[in-house]
Amino acid sequence: MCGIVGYIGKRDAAPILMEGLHRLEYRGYDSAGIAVVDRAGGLRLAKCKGRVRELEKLLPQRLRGSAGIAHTRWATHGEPSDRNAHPHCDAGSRIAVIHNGIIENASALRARLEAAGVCFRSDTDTEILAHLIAAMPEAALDAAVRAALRMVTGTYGLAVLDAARPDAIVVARNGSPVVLGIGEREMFLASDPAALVRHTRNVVYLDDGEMALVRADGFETSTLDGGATVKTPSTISWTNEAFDKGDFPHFMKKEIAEQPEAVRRTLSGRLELRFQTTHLGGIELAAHELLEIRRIKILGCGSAYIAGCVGAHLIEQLARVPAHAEPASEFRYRNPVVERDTLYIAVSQSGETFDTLAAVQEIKRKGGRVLGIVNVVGSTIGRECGRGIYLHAGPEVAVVSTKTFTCTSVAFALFAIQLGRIRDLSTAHGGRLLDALAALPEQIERIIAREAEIVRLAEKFIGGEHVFFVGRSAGHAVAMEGALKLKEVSYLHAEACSAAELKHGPLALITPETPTIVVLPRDDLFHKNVSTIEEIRARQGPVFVVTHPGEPPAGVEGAFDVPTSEPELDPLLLNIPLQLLAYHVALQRSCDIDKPRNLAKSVTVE
Amino acid sequence: MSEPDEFDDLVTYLARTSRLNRPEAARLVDEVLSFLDERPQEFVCRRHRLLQGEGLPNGEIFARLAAELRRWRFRAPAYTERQIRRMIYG
Repeated sequence: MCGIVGYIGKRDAAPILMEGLHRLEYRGYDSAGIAVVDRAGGLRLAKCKGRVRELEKLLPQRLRGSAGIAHTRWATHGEPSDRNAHPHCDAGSRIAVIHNGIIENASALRARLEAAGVCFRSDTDTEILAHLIAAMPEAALDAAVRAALRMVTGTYGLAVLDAARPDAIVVARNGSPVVLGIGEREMFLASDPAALVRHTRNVVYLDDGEMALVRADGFETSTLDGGATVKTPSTISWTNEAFDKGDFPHFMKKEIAEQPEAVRRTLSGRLELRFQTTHLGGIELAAHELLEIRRIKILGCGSAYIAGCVGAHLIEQLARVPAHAEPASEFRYRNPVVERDTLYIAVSQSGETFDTLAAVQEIKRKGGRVLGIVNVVGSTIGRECGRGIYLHAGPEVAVVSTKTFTCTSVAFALFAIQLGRIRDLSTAHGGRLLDALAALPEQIERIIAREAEIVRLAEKFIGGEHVFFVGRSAGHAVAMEGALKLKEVSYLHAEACSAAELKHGPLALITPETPTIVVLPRDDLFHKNVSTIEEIRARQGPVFVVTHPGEPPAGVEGAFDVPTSEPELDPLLLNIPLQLLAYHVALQRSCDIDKPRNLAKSVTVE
Repeated sequence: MSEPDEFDDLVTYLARTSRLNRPEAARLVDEVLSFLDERPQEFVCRRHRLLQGEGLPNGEIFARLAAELRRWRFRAPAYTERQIRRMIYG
């Protein structure tokens, strides 16, 4: 998704901005651009469709100037092209604007400006902002930006540079993140801390409806109405090295391999062995409040939603509270009924997912209680919820989620055990679950160590076009996540369905050319799942299983077994080989694994 | 009978995970500990009297007591410092 980076200080801005753009590449983008005010006070602009390395080729050898902004664009308004790439300028090439988000009244504003004689050079909504700001009579840049934004409806995280006043950059935020990085007589700004962490770990997050005048020696924040606000800097815990691939060929591979350590961090300090329970201090709900919960609704998008399906199953099984997961985007658009005795849980790796954030705001507006499960400390959803569970999984750079899916599932297990032990879960069962959780990192290591088996399995999928994933009960969520991973990175058409639903439609698509991967834990439903396999085999469909140790059912063409855990935690381990399978199918099909086509990390627009 | 500091963790845990407030949790802990404040010999004699009063023959009583002793919680006997050291270091 779009990325913003900016610098003002004593050094040349261009190298810092380009390095920042490289850091933001992981989010997905289709074009990039940079604007720097040079030593002569002119605005130097370069932008192009394609990768950041293409942009680098356009830059002059020496681009001197200590204030600048840069952007990676993921197209919403207007096709990916050189002219639609940001920054956008006013007619006099004085004001440069970079923008994440969508201006909803763009058509009306554009018509008004065109009627006033403005000629547009792009199809974007962002260019409107540049012309509006340039047209404002206010002398100060922050006042001009404020006046322009009063005319705008929509979402934005934006940065504005004025060649006539290069001693400051103005940033504003409404629905799209902006973070300021505080240096030694220099300031950085970005939409994502990943772009800053090499230079400073001392940051300030803007809130919605807030803007900042950023100078080399500091910053002033205010509301869009002009009232001053006070911000307290916080420290990013992630290091610069955490954003590097190291010796791994892809971030996806690195993040799969990091799962044992990531799970250890998610568990760290949260297992209360003395009382056979877990303790999540951040949820900030007293026992009597937890006991009054009648229902739990989990909201997320993509893998976060699917992790929510795993979580709903865990909560129902362990705490015996009705729980259900729903895509946040669907929830927010259907005028949901928000009940006081329902606990809402919002899941987002980045903590910036637009639809999930909008759902959180809708729930709060209607008086509901919402917990966040997020990975990025200080993120908008984390702050908006005010309570919840941080995953501590470390930065996830690959567009496809792997370690944060696993860690989110672990976080749900921790929550379900805590809730269950307050209710009816026995000490003995709690103790067994704690032992099983503690064993997970080592069990994941054992699965990853058998990667060679997955490589051989992947060879059987690379020539096909369609793959089915089938699971039952909690195994259905594993099938959903397996299918999502495969389609995201390998571009194979992958579809998940419940084993019980197979004969109600999808069975019609089973052919000898359509392999099915069945999630087959050796649990109470094992024999029902074997019957499903027989139904597929009767239609000559090839079957592969992800299962537990033991003789695989007759007729399956491939099997991978994972270590056994407590039955409720089986999905966490059954998912790992499917991540590796997606990776190796994509690798053998020569796909761009870390930057899948059309996809973006952290979807911060509607 | 309990000294509050010894069971502070348990009281904190109960106050955090139940509808009890801290004084109520402390009282509950105290009640339970009082209920279990018996040595094995005292327990056996008390239960023997009770079961005998119900008319059970000794053979049946002894079998039942053996099963109950496996499940019941007891205060530990007094240990010397030497015994404690050997528990830790073998």
